[in-house]
Amino acid sequence: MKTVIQTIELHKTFGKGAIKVHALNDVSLTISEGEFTAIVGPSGSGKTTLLNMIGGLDEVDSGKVILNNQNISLLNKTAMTSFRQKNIGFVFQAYNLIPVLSAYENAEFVMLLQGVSKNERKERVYKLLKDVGLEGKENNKPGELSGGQQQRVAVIRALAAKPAYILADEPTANLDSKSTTELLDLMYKLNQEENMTFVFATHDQRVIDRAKRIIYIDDGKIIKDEIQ
Amino acid sequence: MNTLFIIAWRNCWRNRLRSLIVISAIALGIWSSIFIMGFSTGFVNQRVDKMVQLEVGDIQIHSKTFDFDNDISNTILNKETLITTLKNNKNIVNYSERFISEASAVTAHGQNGIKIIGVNPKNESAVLNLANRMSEGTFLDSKLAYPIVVGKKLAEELHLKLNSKVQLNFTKTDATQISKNFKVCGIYAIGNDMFEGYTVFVPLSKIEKLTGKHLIHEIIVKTNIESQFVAEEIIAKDASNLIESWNIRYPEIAYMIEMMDSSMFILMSIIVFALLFGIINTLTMSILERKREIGVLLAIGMNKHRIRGMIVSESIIYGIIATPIGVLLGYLTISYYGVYGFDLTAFSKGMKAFGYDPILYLALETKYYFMYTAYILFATIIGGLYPSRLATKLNPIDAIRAI
Repeated sequence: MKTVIQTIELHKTFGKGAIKVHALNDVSLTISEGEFTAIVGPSGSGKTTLLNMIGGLDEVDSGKVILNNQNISLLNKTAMTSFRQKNIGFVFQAYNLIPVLSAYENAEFVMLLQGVSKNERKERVYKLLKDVGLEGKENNKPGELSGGQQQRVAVIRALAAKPAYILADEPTANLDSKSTTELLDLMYKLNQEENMTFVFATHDQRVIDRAKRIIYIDDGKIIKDEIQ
Repeated sequence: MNTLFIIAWRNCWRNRLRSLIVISAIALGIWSSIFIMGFSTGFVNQRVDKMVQLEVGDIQIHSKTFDFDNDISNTILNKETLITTLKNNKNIVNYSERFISEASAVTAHGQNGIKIIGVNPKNESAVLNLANRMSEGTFLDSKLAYPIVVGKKLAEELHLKLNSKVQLNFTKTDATQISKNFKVCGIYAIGNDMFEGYTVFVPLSKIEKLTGKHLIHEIIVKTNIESQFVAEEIIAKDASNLIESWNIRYPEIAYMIEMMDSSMFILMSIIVFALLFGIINTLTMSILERKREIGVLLAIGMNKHRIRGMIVSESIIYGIIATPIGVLLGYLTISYYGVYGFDLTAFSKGMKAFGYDPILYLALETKYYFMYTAYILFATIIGGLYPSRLATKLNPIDAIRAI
């Protein structure tokens, strides 16, 4: 299977002197296409830092991050922004939709940045809205949607642009049980049917239970990596 | 880009009250500066029009030494040749020959130093509009033996009314004194105390009768094109006299016009500068409120140029909405007060002392409306630059905490 994420001996520290914190300490991992992986660990364990690294949002102190066969350490900020746009889909804990745009406009936004044609955008977005059960909600603004519905729009935004993989940081943290189940079902379905790669940073046992691979991290180190 | 503009437009209306305050402030700033510019232009126009049409004419001709030696014998040279030149110039509407002398005016109530201007009433009226500014009587159109037209200010000071007697004393060419009683046939009022209190008009024929000579010290000319070009044409034909257009003869007025242009530019700059800070402040607040959202946009791959474009578009939107409102309000205000006049009667005493009418007709050249529009739109682009820089400097991780 094609490798989409690879980290080699990652080190990242925050702070200086006595208050120096090793957020990541010699982290090496490989994630292949089609994986449904959860990065798990207590607060402050370094899972979010790791997610930031493989999301191309933060720079490493040492080591390499190779995403979709590209060593991102060699990219400048502008190139990195373009790389994220083309290769990575993000799903945030707080949904982070653009409040002034409708569900449809939010969903098509990354495609718009990519320069996808209007017809293609329309086709993809309407299909995905139908798939996630948001048909008829396309003109609703985020404020007019429930948390679960907003998160589904966020997933469409991440997915519609056909990224190499999707990173999701605590995607279910603000959702009730029903919405969590529906969202996980959706992601799982996309993973199974579209072979889409998902990487979660989570505490949520419901997410952990559905993950195919679980990477345990503590004090900036991977302490366990298991396939379920 | 279309979507960027749509986002920018909707962002502008997230906080309607704040946006409306900014738009109102810009519109009000534009309106007030247009009003002040119209006011200043009205002032200057009024002063220039009054001076050219009521006091000095477009061009004045004197002997080259007249300004340094106002002896009554210091008359215009080669007058016949000069008159022929004036008559042959198609750009000259009319001219009026004048006798000028310093004199004293004496009545039972007092004595004032004055300037006598001896004129042919018909020719004078063809050059200046003084005949239309008579508050009482006529402009030398009288059967009186020795008629005189005095200014309202002088009439007040010497208690003159129509048919009042006033004795004029001036010097003849042989240095002997002439004293003659004149009767007031008219009182003019042009709203310039200095001119009204100092200048009297008498028939040239009566002066000739008293002096026994045809003495012409000044010729005033009315032109139908730019007076400076006509003055140059006359000089090219005959340079034996001092031939000056009004702006050369009275450089302080020309300087006042130049100063007005500069002061308008300074005024526009100050107001635009103040508006600029208003825009920067509003957009900066808006950016700080949307820090997380901008972080998300950066994270999902919106590049800095697009972020910058979005923020600058928001600034331009404020300008695009506010500028036409401000300019239109300004235009309507100027148009209204340009027709009906702005009443400054409360300050009329002070204004008249400096030659201004208490009713001011506002005016503003069209170019200033366009200049101001361009200036404001340019300012909104500049105003958007700092907040947009602030937005692109955001670290997506700091902005959204984490992915």
